Amino acid sequence: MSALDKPRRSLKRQSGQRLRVDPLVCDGIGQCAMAASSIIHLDRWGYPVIPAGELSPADKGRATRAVNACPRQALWLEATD
Amino acid sequence: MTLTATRVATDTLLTGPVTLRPSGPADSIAPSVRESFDDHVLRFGRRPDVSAALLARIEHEGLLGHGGAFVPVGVKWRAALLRKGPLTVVANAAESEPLAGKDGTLIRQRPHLVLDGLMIAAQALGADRAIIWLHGDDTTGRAMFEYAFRERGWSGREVPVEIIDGPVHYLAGEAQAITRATSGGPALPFPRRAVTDPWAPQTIVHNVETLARLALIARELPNPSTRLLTVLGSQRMVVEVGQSTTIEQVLIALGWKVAPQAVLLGGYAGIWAKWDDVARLEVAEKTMRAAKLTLGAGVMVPLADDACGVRVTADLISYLASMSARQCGPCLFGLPALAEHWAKLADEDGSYRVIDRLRADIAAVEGRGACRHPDGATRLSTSALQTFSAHLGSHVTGMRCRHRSHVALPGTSQ
Repeated sequence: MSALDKPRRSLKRQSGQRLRVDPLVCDGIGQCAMAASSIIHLDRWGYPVIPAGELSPADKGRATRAVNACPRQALWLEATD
Repeated sequence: MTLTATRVATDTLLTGPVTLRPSGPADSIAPSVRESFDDHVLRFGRRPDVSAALLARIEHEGLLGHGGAFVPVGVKWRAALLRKGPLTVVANAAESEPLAGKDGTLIRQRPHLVLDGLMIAAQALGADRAIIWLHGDDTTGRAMFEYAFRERGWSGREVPVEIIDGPVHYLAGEAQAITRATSGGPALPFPRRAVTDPWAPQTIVHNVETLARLALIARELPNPSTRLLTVLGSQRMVVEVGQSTTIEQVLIALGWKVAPQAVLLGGYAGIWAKWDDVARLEVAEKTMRAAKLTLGAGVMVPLADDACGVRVTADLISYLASMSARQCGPCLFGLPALAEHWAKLADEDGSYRVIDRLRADIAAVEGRGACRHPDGATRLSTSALQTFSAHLGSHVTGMRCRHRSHVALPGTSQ
């Protein structure tokens, strides 16, 4: 790992990402919505409604916080292509 | 006397129409004609030896799955041939839809055509295991196959096909549930995820009608241009009609004298449609899809003019909620919520606000389940709101519904 790696990484085309939830694993604990309330809201039974489609660069950080907040590890980020 | 192998092809898959018991396995009220192994061989000739080259013929014929989703068989085969893991081929004869009876009728009338289809698929794909999957309560279906094995002289270790009885549950015939069960898990659906390991074991599930058609195509016999339908009127009947037959013609042939107000297409998780919108439509799936409808596994329930569609829908949604796999929140909580709204509407125990709440919960459940079961309930709800919109008025305005509220829905224990 040298400093030369850095410029190469910034030139690489950023691929789009979307947030996914596995409904079998999700127990409706709601930590994701607390960690990222601007992109995730809970339905009236307490289960998260996840934004469909590609995340904006600003939302990517919020989505990552939601992924890390889930005690069931039911959320993950996935490449859109 | 010399026997000439005429190979009389068939232009139908069934040996004849049947009247079934009101719900459950496709046991007919009067005995129907079962084709013996000898008759089967006389009519169709012996099962041909096949290889993966059969794929080209299947794609040329455009063979589609007949379990309800109409996925091209070639697509499934291509995916299976790309992978290297051990392969299980399943003949799915489990009609968990309480009304559906066309597959059960087919395995009772032409079990050997289905068996041939299963063995042809297994041979062409180089499968390690071939399974017949039955609904748990289909004891006659099992007996039919066991008898067919004996006719073929199969016994002990010589039997190339296993029979497995699935559970007795609405979701027991779902392809993903079968895949999970044959690999040692519970018979419950699970979300489809890309399998990355090419050596992982794989399962390919074909509906039994698909396999019967495959057995004809592999012999270079014509694939009958027909559709098998189960229709619930005063009796539950299985008929085979030409693809260009209209829905109205089907009902006339079955003895209907008065036009119904609506038809439930595809079964208990199906779509309601107004009679005038579908009467002249051909039963061909292509025609149905062009009208944004589907007959799924070929189930039709006409609703008589004096029956209350709101009450029937309430009963159906309550049944679907009771048949949840109980695996995910949107289904476990969402379906009972839908059922509660529909019960309120049926009981005339609410105002227009109930309809608003119903619409909001439909939107909250739609597309969010782990499997497609909840989507069946939302689709049925949405189509019922449209089809019975005029009649719904009398349920929320205190005008009182004057329609007959009791409609027998076999299998829902109402």
